[in-house]
Parts: sequence; C-alpha cells; structure tokens
Amino acid sequence: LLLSALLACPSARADENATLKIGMSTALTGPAEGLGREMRAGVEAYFERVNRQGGVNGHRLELLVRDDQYEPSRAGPNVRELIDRDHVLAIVGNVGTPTAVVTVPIVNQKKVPFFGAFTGAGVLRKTPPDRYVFNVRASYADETAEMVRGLLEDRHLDPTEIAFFTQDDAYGDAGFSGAARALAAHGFKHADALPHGRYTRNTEDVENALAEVLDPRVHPKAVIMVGTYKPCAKFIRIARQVGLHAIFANVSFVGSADLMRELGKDADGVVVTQVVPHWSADFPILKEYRESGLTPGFVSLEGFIVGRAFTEVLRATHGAATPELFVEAAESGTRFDLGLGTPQALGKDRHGFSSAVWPTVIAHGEFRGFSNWAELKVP
Amino acid sequence: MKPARSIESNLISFGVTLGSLLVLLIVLLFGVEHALSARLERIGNAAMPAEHAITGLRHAVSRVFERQVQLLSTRTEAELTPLANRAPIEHALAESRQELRAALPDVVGEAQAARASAALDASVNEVLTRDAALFSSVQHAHAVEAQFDARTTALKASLAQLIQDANAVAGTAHLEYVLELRRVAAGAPAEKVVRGSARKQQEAAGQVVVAVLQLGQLVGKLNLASGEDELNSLLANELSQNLSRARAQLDVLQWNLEGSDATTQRVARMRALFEAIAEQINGDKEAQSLVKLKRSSLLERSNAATLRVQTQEGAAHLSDELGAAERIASDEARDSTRSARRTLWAARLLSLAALAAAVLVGFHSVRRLRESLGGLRQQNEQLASLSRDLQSVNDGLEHLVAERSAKLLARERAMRLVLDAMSDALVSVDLEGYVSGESSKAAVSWFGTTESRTPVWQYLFGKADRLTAEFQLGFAQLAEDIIPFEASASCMPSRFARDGRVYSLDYRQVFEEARFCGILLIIHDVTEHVAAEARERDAREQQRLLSHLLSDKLGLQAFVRDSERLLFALRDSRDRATTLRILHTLKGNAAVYGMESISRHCHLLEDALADREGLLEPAEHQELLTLWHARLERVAEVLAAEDMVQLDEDELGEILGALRQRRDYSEIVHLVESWRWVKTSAILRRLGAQARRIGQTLEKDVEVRIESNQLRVMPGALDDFWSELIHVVRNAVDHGLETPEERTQAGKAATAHLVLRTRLLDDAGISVEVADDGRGLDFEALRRAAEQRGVSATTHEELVEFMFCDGVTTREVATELSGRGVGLGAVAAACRAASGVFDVDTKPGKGTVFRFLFPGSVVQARAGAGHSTFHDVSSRYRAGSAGVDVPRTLV
Repeated sequence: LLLSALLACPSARADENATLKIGMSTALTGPAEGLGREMRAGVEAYFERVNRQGGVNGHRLELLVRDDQYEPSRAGPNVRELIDRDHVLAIVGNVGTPTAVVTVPIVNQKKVPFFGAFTGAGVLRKTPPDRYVFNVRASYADETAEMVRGLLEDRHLDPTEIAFFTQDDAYGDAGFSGAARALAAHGFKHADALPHGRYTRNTEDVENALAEVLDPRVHPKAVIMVGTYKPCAKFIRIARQVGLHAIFANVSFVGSADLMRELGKDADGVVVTQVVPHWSADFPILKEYRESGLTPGFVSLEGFIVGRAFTEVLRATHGAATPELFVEAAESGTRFDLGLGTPQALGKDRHGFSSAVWPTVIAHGEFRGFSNWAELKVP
Repeated sequence: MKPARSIESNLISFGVTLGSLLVLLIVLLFGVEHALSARLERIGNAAMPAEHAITGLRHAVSRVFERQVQLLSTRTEAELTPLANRAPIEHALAESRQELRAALPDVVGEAQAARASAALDASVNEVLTRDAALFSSVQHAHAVEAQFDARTTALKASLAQLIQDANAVAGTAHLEYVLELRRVAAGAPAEKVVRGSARKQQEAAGQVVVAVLQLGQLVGKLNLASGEDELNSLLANELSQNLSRARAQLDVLQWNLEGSDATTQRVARMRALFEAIAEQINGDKEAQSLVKLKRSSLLERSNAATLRVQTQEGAAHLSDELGAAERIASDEARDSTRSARRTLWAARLLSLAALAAAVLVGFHSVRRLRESLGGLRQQNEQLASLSRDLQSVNDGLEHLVAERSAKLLARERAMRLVLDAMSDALVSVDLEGYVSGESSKAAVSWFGTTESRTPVWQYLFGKADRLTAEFQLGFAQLAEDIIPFEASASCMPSRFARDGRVYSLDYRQVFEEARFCGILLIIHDVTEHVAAEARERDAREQQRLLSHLLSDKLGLQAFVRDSERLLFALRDSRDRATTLRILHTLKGNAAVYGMESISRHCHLLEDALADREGLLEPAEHQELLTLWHARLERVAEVLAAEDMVQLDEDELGEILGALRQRRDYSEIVHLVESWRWVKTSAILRRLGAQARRIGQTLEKDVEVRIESNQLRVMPGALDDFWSELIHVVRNAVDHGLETPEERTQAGKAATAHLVLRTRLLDDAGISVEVADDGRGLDFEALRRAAEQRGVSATTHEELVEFMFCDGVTTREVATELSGRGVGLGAVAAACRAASGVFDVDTKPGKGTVFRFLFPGSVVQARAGAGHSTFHDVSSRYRAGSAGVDVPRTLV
C-alpha cells in the first residue's frame, strides 16, 4: 500500500502538474453559437500548438468548454462549476457581454483570472481594472469610437446623420455608450436624441427598430450597429429594401463571416470593425494562424491570439501555476509579444493587451480592410 | 491474690479478644473501603462511557437537527440528493445507543437503565421516523417545486415569447406605418396612413404586451403565494381578470389584422400560445397546471413544516431525555461517587475513631484495671488480715475484752501513775479543814494515808504545834472567803519541814459549780531545792571568802581569828546575855565577810534562844562549829600560810627615802617595824564595803567615804574592837540612814552619806568615828525604853550609856543585820576592854556621829609618811564633819 502510495503520488502530481486546466463557457448552441465555436476553435488551436511544442513550463494546456447558449443564467453556473469542480486556472475566451456581466463578479469573488473574453464591453474594462479580468481585444467603445471618428472625421457626416441599431442589452449599450462618448468628444452631446432602434437579443424582431431608424423625420447616412449577425443582416436587408442608403457599420462581435453569408448579395459595402487584423496581413501570429489549419476568420483568429496571450502570460508565471501567480506575472511589467507588432506590457492599471481596431468592409464576398472611411461607397 | 491474677488473665484475654475484634473491624473496614473504591472506580469507568454515549447521542441528534435544517433549506431536489443518505447519522445514533445501553446499567442500575434506554430508543426511533417523513415530504415538495419551476420557466419563456411576438407584431405595424408615412412623404396618397389599421394593430399589440407582462407578474405572484388563501384570491381576482383582458386585447389585435399572412399566422400562434399559457397556469384539463402544482407545493411545504415541527418536538423531547439521562448519569455518578466517598471517608473516620476510641478506652481501662487490681489486691490483703483478725477475735473475744479491760485499767493506772508520778503532793481539803478525797501518792508517801476526817494540819504537820496553830488561824480566814483568796493565801505558811524534808505549800481555790467548795493544797518537796540553794549560798560564801582573802588577807585573818575566839567564848559562856551578844557579834562579822550561812545560822540560834530559856545546847554549838569549819575549810590553807607584810608604794618610797637620806638607823628600824602594824585604811575599807552591802540589802543608797589618814596601829590592841565596830556601822545604816524616799520627803539628797574615819590623837592615841547624815537618834525613845527597863537615864551621857547596853533597841522588829539591841553592847565592851571611851553626837534630821577614842599608850598609832601632823588631822576632822555639828561630849 505504501509502495503504491509512493508510486502513485509522484505520478498523480506529475499528472496534475502536467495538465493545466483552463475553462471556457461559451455559446456552442443558439444564435451566437458560431461565435462560440469559432472562439473555441481558435483557443484550442493555439493550445494544441503549444502542447505540441511541449506545453508551457512543462504543463499541458487543457481547455474545458461549457455551453452557455449565450445566456447569462447558464454562464454563471458554468463558470462556478469550472472553478469549483474543475479547479481551472483561468476562464479564457468566453463569448458575450451579458454572460461576462454575470461572470466578472464570480471570478472576482473566486479570484480566478477571466482572460480574453470575446467582448468589448466596458464591464470588463473598468478603471482601475478588476484584478482578475484581462482583455486581449479592444473594447466596443474602441470600435464604435473608431466608427464615429471615421464617419465624422473621414466622411464628414453630421452627428445627426448617424443612427443606432443596438441589441437591447449590455452589449448594445456598451457599443452605444462608446459611440456616445466619441460623439461627445466630437462636440455632440445628444446621442440619446439620435435615431436608435433596439431589438431583443436572440430574436430577429427588428421591425420596430427599423421603424425608429426609418422614421420620415430623420435621414441617417450611417447606422452604427451593435448586434449579432442575424438581426443585423435582417435590418440591413430590410433597410436597403425600403431605400435606406446608409453605411451599416458593425462591431466585430457581429460575427463577420456569418454576417457576410447571411446578407448574401446585400453584403457589399457593409462595414465591420475588427479587433484583430485580417488573417492575410503580415504579422507573425497570422503566420502561425494560417498554419493552424483553421478556416480563416476573425473570431477564430481572436481565439488564436487569446490563446497566445494567455500562453505568454503563463510562460512568465514562475513556480506553480496559480491564479495569483498568474495575475502577478501579468502585472509584473513583462512585455508580452502577441505577434502583433510591438510587445505590450500590462500593469495594475492596464489589463488590456490591445485597443487596436481594424475597420473592414465587405466587398465581393470578402472582407477588405480600409483606413479612410471617406473611401467607402454606399450602394 | 489468686482470684486477682485470674481476673488479670481474664482481662488480658478479654483485651486480646477486643484487640483482635478491632483488628478484624479495621480489616473489615478496609475491605469495605476497597470494595467501595472498586465500586467508585466502576461507576467512574461506567459514567464516563455513559456520558460519552450521551454526548454522542446528543451529537447525533444535533446532526439530525442539522440535517433537517439542511433539508428545509434545500430548494431543489439536486440539493436534497446529498442529504438522502442518512446512514452515517443512524450509525452514529445506533453506536451511541449501544454504548449507552452498555454503560448505563453500571451507573443507574439495570431497571432504570432499561427504562431509560427504552425511552431513548423510542424517542430516537420517533425522531428518525419523523425525519424520514420530513425527508420524503421535502423531497416531494422539491419535486413539485421543480415541476412548478419548470412550468414557470416554460411559462415565462412562453410569456416572453408572447411579449416578443406582440412586440414584433407591434413593430411590424410600426414599420408598416412608418413606411406608409415615408410613402406619403414621398408623395403617395395618405389614405392608408389615415385609415389603415397599422396604428390600431400597434396599439392592440402594445396592450397585449401589457396584459402579458401583467400575466408574467401574476405568475410571479403565484410563485410567491405563501398560502392557499392568497393563491385562491389571486386566482379568483387577478388571474381571471388578467386572462380575460389579455384575451380581449388579442381579439382586438386579430380584428385589426389586415396585413401579411406572416403577421396573421404569428397572431394566431400568439393566440394559441396564450391559451396554452392560460391552460398551463390554471387549466382544468392540465394535470400539471401551475396553480395545481403550487397547491401541491404549498401542501407539501405545510406538511414539511408540520413534520419539521413534530421532528423538532421529538428531537427536543429526545434532547430533554438525553439531558435527563445525562443528568441522571452524571448526578448518579456524582451522587454515588460523592456518597461512596462520603461513606468511604465516614468509614475511614469511623474506623480511625473506633480505633482511637478503642485504644483510649483500652489504655484507660488498663490503667483503671491496674488501679483496681492494685486496690483489689490491697483489699484482698486487708480482707485476709481482717479475716485473720476475725478469726482471732472469734478465737478469743473474751481475751480481747479482758485485754481492753486491762487497757482501761492500765490507763486508769497510768492516770494514777501520772498523778502519783507528780512530784507534787495534792491534798484536797474541804472548807472545814478535813482532808477530802484521795491524796496523791506523793502525799501518801510523804505524810502517810489519811483516815476519815483528818484535819489537814494534823495530816501535814503532825505535832508541830506552832505551825499547826498558825495554819489553823489562816485556814479559817481562807475558808471564810471574805478577804480575797490570794491575800489570805499569802498569809498562810508557805514552807514547812517534816521528817528532815522541806516542803513548800501552795493554795488553790476549788470550785464546784462556781461555788467555793474546797481548797487544793499543792505540796512540793523543796528539800533538794533548799539544799541546792544552800550549796549555792556556800559557793557564794566561798567566793566571797576567797575575794576577801585576796584583797585583805590580814583582815580576813583577823576576822577568822576573832570568829574562832568568839566561838570558843560562846561554848564557854555561862550566861545568856553573853551568849546572845557573842552570837550577835558572830552574826554581824560573818555578814561583813559574806559568810551568810554562819550569819543565818547565828540568827536561827538567836531565834531558837529567843523562844526558850537558858543557853545553847552543846549540839547546837557543835553544829555552828561544824558549819564554821566547813566554811573555812577551803580558805584555811591559804589563811594558814605564812604571814606577809604588805607595803604600798608610799611606804616603800618612805623607806627608800629614809635609806637614801641615811636617816638614823633607829628611825629606819621603827619605820620597818611599823609595817607589821595594822593599817586603819584596810579596816575602814572593809567596814565601808560592809556598809555598802548592808545599804544594798536595805535598799538604801549609801555613799561611804573612808578617811584613814594613813594611820597604822599596833596589832592586837584593838582587834576585838575592830570586830565589834561593824555593829555601829550596821546600826548607822539600818537605823540612822533613811530610805531614799524618806530622804527625798525630808528635802535631802536621795544618796545617804556615811563617813568612816580614823584620826591620830596627840598622844599617839586614835579616834575612830562613824558619822552619818541620817535622821539622828531619837533620845526620847531611848529614854522611854530605859523607863520600860527600869533604868534611870535622863542626861545625854546616861542615855548614851543605856544605848550601849545589850538588848537595847529602838526598832520593833529585829532583822538579820541589827536591831536586836545586842551589837552596841558588844562594841562598848570591846572599847572599854581596850581602855577606850566612846561618845555619840546626834542632831535630829541631820545625822549622828559615833566616836571611839583610844589612848596612845594602848594603840601606839602612827601616821604614814608625809601625813603625820596632828593638827592637820584635827583640822581634817573638823572639816570632814561636813555640816554635822557633833558635840564633843567625850574626848
């Protein structure tokens, strides 16, 4: 018995040490399932790549994924289970803002890092940042601010010519408030008075929202859209049908590929801002991504980049991988190279790796990056 | 002794038995203590497990409680599942019960333990049963609630869907309206906008949304309903109202539909969904309707609550019982421990006390026993001796009686002996003078036995008539008891002689019942005492003689010579006057030389002669002579020794001076021859000493002055005179000088003066003078005495002559010293024999001078060296008369 115990212990420890569990609660089913699946694919692809190369500090990385259907009521239990039962080192690559809203208090309470969620919501970007919350991507505010900047500065639109189509929840509000701040920054403080249609999450009942935007009293030349691809696609299609000729600018979360597919022939000219560069761009990480065999896409690329960012922080963690040591390593001032240009250092006042936004436009069935919004052509 | 020893041995064996018993008692007590200790230990050992078991039980019960709290706090079956397994609690309970069942009997006894165990078991089982019921109730409630929740969730989803649909319909209508407005704005006719139903659809859809929202609220209220009543109220009022309103709005919506098929279908679907919802909420056909589920849930909750209360009660009961059991156990353990300890201590103390008491009692008893045994032994011995005595008493009681009688007799005899042994003779005499009662042995031996009615004087004095007469007279006075007895007794004869013995007499008054009834005569034989006195007197005389021998040997020799001559003269005397005079002279001389025995004997002879006629008997004379010789025997040798010549310093100086001056040889011879002559100074000193002695005897303070003037006279011529001169001296001290009291009364110095003087006369004769400063001679009394004797004496010379006759005295009672009228006669005779003359000068109250003159032819006196002038002596004589004018009647 003793012998077996002696034999068992090192092996068990080695086994424990060998594998680092990382949790993920995401939408594997439901209207946002494409996002969740892509995200998982990207993170897993990078982890596999790392594991193939011998893991991090000798640890294999194992991603435990649970389906929350993009519902907060499911995300909370999922995260609790992952932490309490599976003792994951961190929660990585969750999808969605509403789900993140319930997840953040949990991770703060459980003191487990919440890393690289697929959301740009402000709830993850408090000032100063929550100790256990780390972002890889830019925020929705960053994205909508870029839209406002482009529309007002590049395209010289009047703020009153901007309308909003947002999901009637935290995600939509996050995007809207980012835009409102940007508008305010540009001298327009009445964003709430602008045409603003809201739709219910997980429905395609966009008619009422359309009615708001299409009201004869207003003539929007651009619609900043903070929603998911199906309602957004429906909105764009109907709007175009009834003769609204405007720039439809979507945030990255919309799910670029799905949107493009959903819109079909109506996709041309639809703008989607990205928090990752186009996979064809010339960044070291993109080379690895392209080598990963994944169907290229912004979401999986984001997942891939999140995997890399997480791995980089993990590599900087000294000793046993614990949440606290992970956080300390992240805040240590180490410059983490995500393969996206200049390595970035985090700190107690900075938990975001990137605030970069890459605007893209669908043209001829593909995304094309652009830098000047004035160049955009409205069909 | 034997019984005592057996008692002792019995006691020892008793003590041994007692000791053994004590030891046995102590052993027994220690056995008890051991047993009690064991019992205590067992109780302690048992109590601990019992308490442990009870604590275990309590713990288990608390776990049941905890479990129940957990049960009731569960919200889902999933939460309940982990609590399904009650086995550990049951196991713990069973274990503790088993433990308690095992331990309790040792603590509280089998019966009580069984009862307590049974009660506990019942309570525990009850709690467990109720717990099981509670669990199933909670489980059921959870199942129902899960269904309720599921239904609610579904309902909410349906409701949300309904709302979404309604909103979507409203949105569609809104979009339709807006698009119509846009068409109007673009120039199309406005009729559709004005008359179209889009706006109404939009409103109806909005109302549907509101109704559905309210329905959603109602579902929430249903969920929250805490009781049947609330539920019923909700159902009856709000639910039915709300459902009907929602239906009405759906009707309105449908009515206004005129749009696409999609919308119509969607509204139809909404209608169906709504009905389904209504059915799900409170449909009669729906077995699992929300309301039914809620009812069921409420029921289960209520059941569970009841059960919980019951369980709690049961558990509380159990807890109480456990507490009671615990208390009982601990109390019992404590009590029994305490009582056992108490008992133990009591036993220990008792045993120690018993031991101590036994030891004390033992010691005490042993001591007491020893004492008792000692006493017993003594008593035994006494008893034995008593019994022996008794035996002897029994043997000779008569002997004892005789002995006692003998003792009494002996005592009587002893008394008698005492009486008889008394040296005094006791003679009791009745008042008539007859000897009464028994006389003492001394009396008998001295005076013989008395016959009846013998007068005491006859008995005592025999034929001594004079004494008898004197006694008889005095006795009559005594018996009369008129004069005080002591006074009368002092007049009685105090001494008498009989049969050669001398007896003293003493008188005691005898009273009988305070009445003077007789006189006790105490007669003491003082013969020896008298003899002793005589011997003492002899010794004194001897001493005096020796003293005289030493101081004035010549004087003493003269005295002895005179006395012996007188004694011969006394023997040869044939006439009574001479005999008396010689006796008197002898008496006086002897007194001068302190020879009291001779003096007294002379006095006795004088007494004897005074009582009868005639002369001294030869025997009487012989007696005096024998006495004289006896007295002189001691000093005879010294006196008989060779005569010496005494010189004083002056005479020695005189002869030495004469020799150095080579005086005439004849003168020196004369001088030396004169040394053998008698010095008057010695004679006068001797007389002076006698005078002082006489004065002391007569209690007169006499100062004697000697004025010898250094004269010596031829020896032999005046020897008789010097012997008789003492009478004159004695007469002067006795009769001439007063007592100090008389002198003080007469205004004179208390000390009387007597001057003895010798003077050389012109013809070498000598004058001898005795001068006093006393009362003077009573010549009138002399004349009366002369008349009484028939002598004619009137002149001074005649009276002086008469005074110097024998038997003349002015004193009424003759004393031993003078007063017999004999002395002066003897002096006159001696004076005349030496051719001398005499004269008396007296002055009443001033004094008297007796003067004797002897011619030189007879005495051939001469003065000593340096003092021999005649005139000087004469002048001295005059001067020395010191105020006493002595008429020179005869020179």
